[in-house]
This record gives sequence, structure tokens and C-alpha cells, in this order.
Amino acid sequence: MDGFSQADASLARAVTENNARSPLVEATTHVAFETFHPSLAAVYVAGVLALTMFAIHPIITTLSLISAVLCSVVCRGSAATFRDMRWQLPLALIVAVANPFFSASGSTLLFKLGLLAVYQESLFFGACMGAMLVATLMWLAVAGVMLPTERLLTLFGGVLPTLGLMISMVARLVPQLVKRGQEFRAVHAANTGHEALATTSTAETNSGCASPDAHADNPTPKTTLRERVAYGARMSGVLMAWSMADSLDSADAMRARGWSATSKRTSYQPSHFDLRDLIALSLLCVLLVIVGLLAWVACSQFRFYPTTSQLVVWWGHIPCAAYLLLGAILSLRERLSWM
Amino acid sequence: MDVAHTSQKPAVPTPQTSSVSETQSALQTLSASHTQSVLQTSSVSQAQSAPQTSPTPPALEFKQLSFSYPVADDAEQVLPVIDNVSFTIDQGAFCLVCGATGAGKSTLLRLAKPGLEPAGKRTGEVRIMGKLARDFDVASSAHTVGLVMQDPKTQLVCDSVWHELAFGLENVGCEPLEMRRRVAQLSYFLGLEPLFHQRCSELSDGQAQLVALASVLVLEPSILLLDEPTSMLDPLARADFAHALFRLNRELGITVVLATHEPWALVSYASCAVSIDNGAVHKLALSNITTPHNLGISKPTAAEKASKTAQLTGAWLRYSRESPWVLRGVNLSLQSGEIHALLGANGSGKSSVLKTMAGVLKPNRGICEPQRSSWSQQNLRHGWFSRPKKAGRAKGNSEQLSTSVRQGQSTSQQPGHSASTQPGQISTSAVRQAYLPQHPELLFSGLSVAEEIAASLPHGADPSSIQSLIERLGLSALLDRDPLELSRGQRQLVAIAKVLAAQPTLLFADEPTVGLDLAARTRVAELLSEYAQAGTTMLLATHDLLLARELAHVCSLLFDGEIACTMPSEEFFERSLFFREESLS
Amino acid sequence: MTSTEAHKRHTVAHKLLDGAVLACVPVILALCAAFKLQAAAGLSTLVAIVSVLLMMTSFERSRPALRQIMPTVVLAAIAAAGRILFAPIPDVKPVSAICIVAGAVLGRRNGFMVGALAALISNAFFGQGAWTPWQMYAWGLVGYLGGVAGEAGLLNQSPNTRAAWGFASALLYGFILNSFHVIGFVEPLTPAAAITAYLAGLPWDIIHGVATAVFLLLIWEPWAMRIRATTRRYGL
Repeated sequence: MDGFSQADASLARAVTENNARSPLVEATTHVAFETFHPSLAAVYVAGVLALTMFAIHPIITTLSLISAVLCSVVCRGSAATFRDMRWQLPLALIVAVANPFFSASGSTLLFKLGLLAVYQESLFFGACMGAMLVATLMWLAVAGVMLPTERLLTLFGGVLPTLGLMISMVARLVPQLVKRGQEFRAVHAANTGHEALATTSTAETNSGCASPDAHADNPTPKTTLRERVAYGARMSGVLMAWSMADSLDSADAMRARGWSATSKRTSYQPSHFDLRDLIALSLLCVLLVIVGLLAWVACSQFRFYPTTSQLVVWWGHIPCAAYLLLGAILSLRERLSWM
Repeated sequence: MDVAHTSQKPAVPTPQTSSVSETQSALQTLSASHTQSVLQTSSVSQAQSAPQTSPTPPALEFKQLSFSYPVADDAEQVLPVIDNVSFTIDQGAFCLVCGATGAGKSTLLRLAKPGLEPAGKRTGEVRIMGKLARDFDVASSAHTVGLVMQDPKTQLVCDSVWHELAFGLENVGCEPLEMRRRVAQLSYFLGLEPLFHQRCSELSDGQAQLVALASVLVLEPSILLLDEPTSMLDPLARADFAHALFRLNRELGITVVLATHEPWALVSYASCAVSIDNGAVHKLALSNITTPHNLGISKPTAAEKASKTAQLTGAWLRYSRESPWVLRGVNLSLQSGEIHALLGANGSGKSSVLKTMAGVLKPNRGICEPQRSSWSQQNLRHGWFSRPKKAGRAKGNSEQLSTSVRQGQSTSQQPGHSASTQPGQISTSAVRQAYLPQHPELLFSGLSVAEEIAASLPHGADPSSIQSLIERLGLSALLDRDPLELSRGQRQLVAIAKVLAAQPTLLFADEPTVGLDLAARTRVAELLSEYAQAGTTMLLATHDLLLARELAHVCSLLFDGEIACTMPSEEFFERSLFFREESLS
Repeated sequence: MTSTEAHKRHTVAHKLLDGAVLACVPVILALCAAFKLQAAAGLSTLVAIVSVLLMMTSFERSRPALRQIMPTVVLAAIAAAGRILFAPIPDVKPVSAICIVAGAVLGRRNGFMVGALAALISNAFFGQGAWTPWQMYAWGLVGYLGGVAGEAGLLNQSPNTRAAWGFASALLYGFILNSFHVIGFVEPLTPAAAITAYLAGLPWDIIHGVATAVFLLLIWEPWAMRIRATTRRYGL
């Protein structure tokens, strides 16, 4: 149920190893729509996500999953894709398997575990849901590459300039604070000058210290979780005080450069919208509408319960596939054109 | 009587004069051609009745300005920071405002920037381009006066450089097309185009300060106020920044007023100078500003029986598998009682060497002695709560430690060093180590200054032993304050006090004198010299070459991940042609 | 007098509007559950996104002063950094506690912004998931309710009420995220299934709740004091 923390823990290592780049920088791999206005990438990503999350149809979901994986491999590289799949697939499996246990309905009984009846329909539905979950997560990762927050800011920066500025400020501060937070521990570990040595146990340290604060600075291997959390809270207090003091200087710098000169803040938008963008956007929207209608038709004709409808190969799936694969195809084309 | 001052705008030289020697000769021609009396001190009536002889209003004019900070009701009256100051700075001048830290330079500059005046009691008049300071609103203040401050990293508020450059223009409601024009032209002038899409957190300090300058210039102010802009930069970045200011002043005619405690570095660019002392401002002749050649301290004598305290052999280090090697086979050894300076450019890996020797980082290859327990050896990869590796706390560790350390510990005379052996511990405890990081705030724990320093006393030490330390560093007046409210230089001094109060036998210091003025540097150097005399081994990573030459016994130069040379410091500086303090300051 | 009255009515109207916008999400969730909609995941995510955007737009339009922006930005950054630094210990996240402090000291809207921005930026590092808008909404709500509690004076009374509030806020956060998961992905939804799903996530939520309560107790006084002191100095 808590794939959230799984994702956190596995990717936290990447962040603290400085491998994870802040997404507020232009993507270095070549992705689809990168030479167009960000609104194209935004429309495409929104459409794909809507299609995946709203159209619960086995074929559409499978198509979405396949194209998500393809697009991710092209845009982010196979290493990142498979690293993500390592924690996403077990999650999907959990959803797939858990569903029949939570909702016992359907008509084809597979087996009974005591009071729980497992039906084929609910298992199939669970599998579909699991696939949809993985597809959504994968598409969101691709979206992070296709539409890094910087390009997103250029979209919304004009409409919500203060918000764009705040996002920019927070994004600047976070890596700095993470690095400083890590350095706290390193610096305190390196300062073995006073009696709170890193190698002694808490008991020995407690016995004869100059001040109780001295040993609190150096957590020892035998500290409990609670003591480590207390150390973390203490250090985060110093970090906060430090950042607040720095923020006063930042506020001065902002005021020195005319902050609150006018209530109408404008926004610098380095990307502009021209005829080529307009044509491409219109085509994309038309395709999206067609695909949406077809998906609606397909879903309204498909039932999971009480018996699963027959899976037919329908011509209407082809435009859907085309739309879903558009991201992968265009990204591949961008990469190949640079080779 | 009234000294009528005449000044002509300096002739703008052609942009081709880009090399330093050419600009210096051009400067000499300029200074010969116009009178340098851009400053005058005059009495009340004279100032009011003196006719404006110059056709253009002076850029900055102070008339009997006095300022004092607000005091609490029960505190005694404080002396005014600035007392009855009157002087003018002409348009197009490059004026240096000299004075020790805390003399009032920042206050003077802030009073000249409408909108950023500090709160307090102010009498007198400030005129900017002939207009009273209080007549400026936010927009006109931004368009007329620009202010660049000391710390490059806190001045940048946005995530990317392009956003930072456009920030000021966004604030005043500039049209996007106009914004793009100004940003493009300024980026080309200052050479910021390659940095345009970079993150501000990835910039070096020198680059960050240039971006901060650019983000102020994009509003096209006529006056540029700079409050110690280069004090936190390394020498190379200082030269770049100073040259950028020079071009702005001479090519574009922007008035530059720069407050600094090291005026000798910029004297060749400046056209005039003042100094602030005890609230009064005096004109300073540029020829009176000389580079200091020594700190006036005595180098401690090296111990005769020098034994090895710590050693790094063949250390290779990188921060992650994808990143390049930072250290490529560094060999460094520290003898007991010696002061070892580690020199090298910004980003060459000095901090990494320091951290590796301090046991904070474990080298990927190579050995660091003395061996640390696996607890203190942690790579910076993990967050706060990764599990330490299984500690191999066998008795073998104590044998690995060189016996000389134990010998050195017992034979050296150290002031107030208490006995530190306890039964059953590994003898790495015989080494009392202290590490002064580049950011002094990392040592603080959220207490007041006095408590911070007292907290790092070793067990059994006399609390009054820190009194002399506090007095010598000039912290007596600050004991009740929160260290995070102090200025950068004062924080540095508190951190140094904290580190020295622990009476370490092994001291690693990363840029100990950054942000300090000459007097403070001398005091710190004296203290370090005394501690070394008493037997503390020190490794100082610094770009302060004067300190390295005066204080250190041995200098090592770090280049390309390796130690390029290790020599006694006199020999090092005698033989070095390109790496000297005169050429880099 | 009329201007202050109008101002008061203005703020009351704003508070009602904020409340309505925030209440949309649980209403839609309940409707999805009641009508057993298949596309619940997409629909509820869409509503969460819209709700967060509306709150952010109203924050933008209130034209916040510098002394409201900077502390909010700093606290959001600390919350995000704290989440990254505590990541190796699962479910111990200081974000909820920081949101509560921000809401109580800086006001409701700022509390919401701290939560939303912390979620957005820390997820930008971890990898945006389908739950980003949900985390933004949930932590924003925790901050907003922290503001409400601060105005009502609940948090000043005693450490016990603070600890209880922190625990409850963390449980609320977990409840919202679990609801999205349950209503979106478990089909069809029976009460038994829902309860089982919630109970399955309970241990993690309890750890989160305890951690939040502990953090809140540890950071309440020093942080509140410092934030207020800094905000005062911004006025100068």
C-alpha cells in the first residue's frame, strides 16, 4: 500500500549521491517537442495522462504501458527506466493481487481461501489497474523530462509570476539546504576535540562533560532512533535559523532591485509562440479529441463485471496507439537527427 | 576657505584597451588630465552657500549626515556610527570607501540607497543626482542606484541565471521584448552568455557575484554601490570582478562607489578614495594606499624532533561513480607542531583533501593515517541517519596508529591540555582534532556566543582559559548575541574561537581568514602561531597567500588532483614566479 | 469604520472561499466512492489539481508582501530538504510538523503554500508521481488547518494539545493519500474493502503521526520565536 515510501527510499540515495539532477534545468537528452513551445509538450502529456487514467480498457492500458516504457527508454535511458520498474512492478503486483481480496465480485470462481473467494474477473481488473498505475508513473517520469519545471514556469510564469518566482526560489534553496544538512553531521563528526568522542558510548560521554550540549552534538553509534531524531530536529533548527538570517539578505537584494515597484509583475518568457507552434498545437488537439472520443466509445462498450467482455481488435485502437507512441517516435527522431 | 572643486568627466577610453598594462597607462593619462578634488569637507554655511560650479549634479552628496542605530530604552547612549559627514562624489568617479570592518562603510552605503536605509536616528541630507533621497520611490531608486552586497550566494534569489537577470525588470513591469533586449546586451557585455541556462546553485562564488552585478545593472542605474563585493572571493575571481567594474566605470561612465577593507587591490582602478574612522570621513590620497607586505607576526619554530601526526598516501577520491576523480593520488604528511598551508585555485579540491585527512571522507583508494573508526568515516552520500558500517573496533586499531603520535602527545607542552586517555578506548582519542569548515555556521548549535565557545571546552579544562581567547579575537562585546545575527566576519571569528577553545592537537581549517579585514587576520594569525608553538599541528587550506607566507612552515600546491609541490614556504614563494600574492591581489 | 468592516467581510469571504475550494476534494472523493465510478483515479486527481491551482491563484492575487513570501519560501525549502535528509528512515517526515508551524505563525494561506511547495519541489527531486497533486493538497491542507488551529489558540495551550494536533494532522495526511489509492484503484468498492485497505496503511501512518508529534514538540517554540523575529525585521 505504501509504494510512496518505497519510491522515496530508493530515490533518496540518488538524490543524496548527487545523481539526481534538479529538474529545473533544460533536459540534456533530446526529447519530443523540445523545439516547440512548451504548451505542446504540456498538451501532449496532459492528454496521455488523461487517456491512461480515465480510459480503463485492457487494450488501451496495455498500449499506454508499452508506449510509456518505450518513451521512457528513449528519453531517460534504459538504466533509469529499469531502475524505476524495479519498484513499480512489485507495486503493480500488489494492486493486482490485492484487488480480488478486497472486492470479491465476479462470476468465474478461481479458488477459495477460507472465507475469501478469488474471482477471475476481479483478478483481471486488478491486473489492469496495476498496469494503469505503472503506466501513469512511467508517463509522469517522462513528463518530468519532457516538461522540466523550468519550461512549465515559462507557461505559467506569465499568469502567476509571484508563484513562479517562489517555485524558483524554493528550488534554488533546496539543494543548498540538503548539502548543508549533510555537512552538519560531517563537521560534527570531524570535531573530536572535546570529550564527546565518536567512539565512546553514551554512558561514558554522559559522565564527565563540560556541558550537556557538547555531547548532544555528536551522536554515537549506540544512540536510539529517538535520540537521532532529536539530533536531526536540533540541527534542522540551526539550519532554519541560518536560512532565515540569509533570507533577510535576500530580501534586501530583492528590495534593492525594485521589488513591489508595481503591482503588475511581468514575466520574462524566453520561448515564443509562432505559426509553426500554432499549426502543430492545432493538429495535436484535433488528434487528442478524436482519440478521446474513440476511447470513450471503446470503454463504454467494455465491461469487467460480472463477466469480462470479449476483447476485439478494433480499428479505433490505432489512432490511440498513434497518439500514445507519438512521444516515443518524436523523441527518437530528435535523437537520431543529432547523431 | 571654500575649496571650489572643478572636475571634468574622465575621457572614455576606447574599448580596445583591455589588457591591464594598457589600462594602467591610460589611467595615468586620465589622472593627469583632470583634477582629483572630487571630495571636499566644508562647514555648514559654506555648503549651503557654495554655488554649484559643476554643470552636472554630483552623483552622491552627503550634507552633515549623522546616523545612529536605535537603542533599547534602558541601554546607554551609543555613539553615532556616522557623525556630521559631508562630502560629494562626482559622476563618473570610481570611489573607494576604506575602513576597518564595522567602521560604518555599510551604513554609509545603505543610507545612499533609497529604500534600504537602516532604521535609526538620522540627521542631515543625502542627495543622489541632485535629488533628495526621500524623494525617490521604489522604481526610481532601482533605476538610479544599484547595490551589490558581500555574499554572492544570498543575493541570488532565483533558480536559474536567466531568471535572476530578468528579476529586476520583472519587478518594475518591463515589457518582455524590452527585457529580452536588455538581458541580451548585458550578457554579451559581461560575458555571461555561457552561464545563461545554468542553475544559480551550481555557480562558483566569482560567477555568482558577476551574475549579482549583472542583475543589478540590467536596470541601468547611474550609480553602483558595492559593499565589500570581493571579500569572499578568491584572488582570481577578485581580479575578474574588479576588471568588470573598471570597464563599467570607464566605458559606460557609471559612478562606482566601492566599500572595501582591502583598498590596495583596487587602487589602480580607482579615481579617488575616502576613509571612515570613528564616524568621520576623510579624503584619502590614492598614493597613500599601499599593499601590506607582512602581517607582523613571528613564525613559530618547528619542533626539532618532528614526528608524523597524520598522513595521506596515494588518496584517490570521487563523490560518486559518475563524477570525475577529485583527488588523484594525493600524498601529504603533517609533522607535529607544523603549520602546513594547502594552496590551490577555487575548486581544485582543497576542501576534499581536508575532509579526507580529517576522517570525514574515506578515500576510494589510498590510506589515511591515523585510522579512524568507521563511525566518523562516512561519505557524504548518506543523509543523517544511514547505518554506520559494522565497526571494526578491534584493538588492532590502536596498533595501526603510529607510535609517534602517542610520543608526541606526551612530550609536547600544551597549554591546559588535559589528560585524555580513558581505559578501554582506542587511542585515536589521543588525537584531539578540530575542523573549521568553510561555512562557520556549520559549527553552531543555536546557543549564544559565550555558550557556543564554552560548549567546546574539553573536559576538565578551566573555563577562564577561554577569556583571553575571546578578548584577543575581539568578541567580548558580542557574548550574549546569537551568532547567526552577526556579520560574516564576526561569525568567522566565533567559529575560530570555538575551534581553538577545544585545544586541539590537530587542526584542519578551511579558509580561516575569509571575510576578515587585515587587523583581524593578524590577530588570528598570531593566535594560530601561538597554538602551533604549543604543539598543535595545523593544515590550512587557504587562498590568502600573505597568511601562507607569513604563518606556514610548509606550503603544498594542489593541482589537477595531485600535490604539485611541497616546500618550505620561503622557498616556495621565492621560487614561484606566477603564484604570488602581488600578482593575484 | 466601514473600510475595516469591509476588510473584515473581505477576509471572511476569502476564508469561506478557501474552505469551499479545499472541501471540493473530499466531496468528490466521497461521490466517486458512492457512485462507484470507474475513472475515480483520474477524476479525483483532476479535482485535486484544480483545487491546488485555485488556492495558489488566490494566494497570487492577494499580492503577498515580502515578509510573507520569504519566510514561506524558506520554510518550504527546509521542509523539502528535511524530507530528503530523513528519507532513509521511512515515514519519518518533518514536513507535516513544519507545515503546522508555518500555518500557525504565518497564517492559513502561507501554511498551505508551504505544504504545497514542499511537496512539489521535493517530488521534483524524487520523481513526480501520480500522488504529487495529492501530496500538495494533503500537506497544504495540513498547513491550512495548522493556521486555523493557530488562530483558535489551540496550539499555544499545552504540549499535549500540540502533540495531539500533530498526530492528528499526520493521520489526516495519511488518510487523504490512502483514500486516493483506495478509491482510485480498488474496484468495486465495498465498505469492508475500504476499511481493510485503510487498516493496511495504519502502521505507517502511526509512525508518521508519532514522528510529527515529536517534531512539533521539539521545534514549536524555537522556530515560532525565530520566524516571528525575522518577520518583524522584514518590516524595517
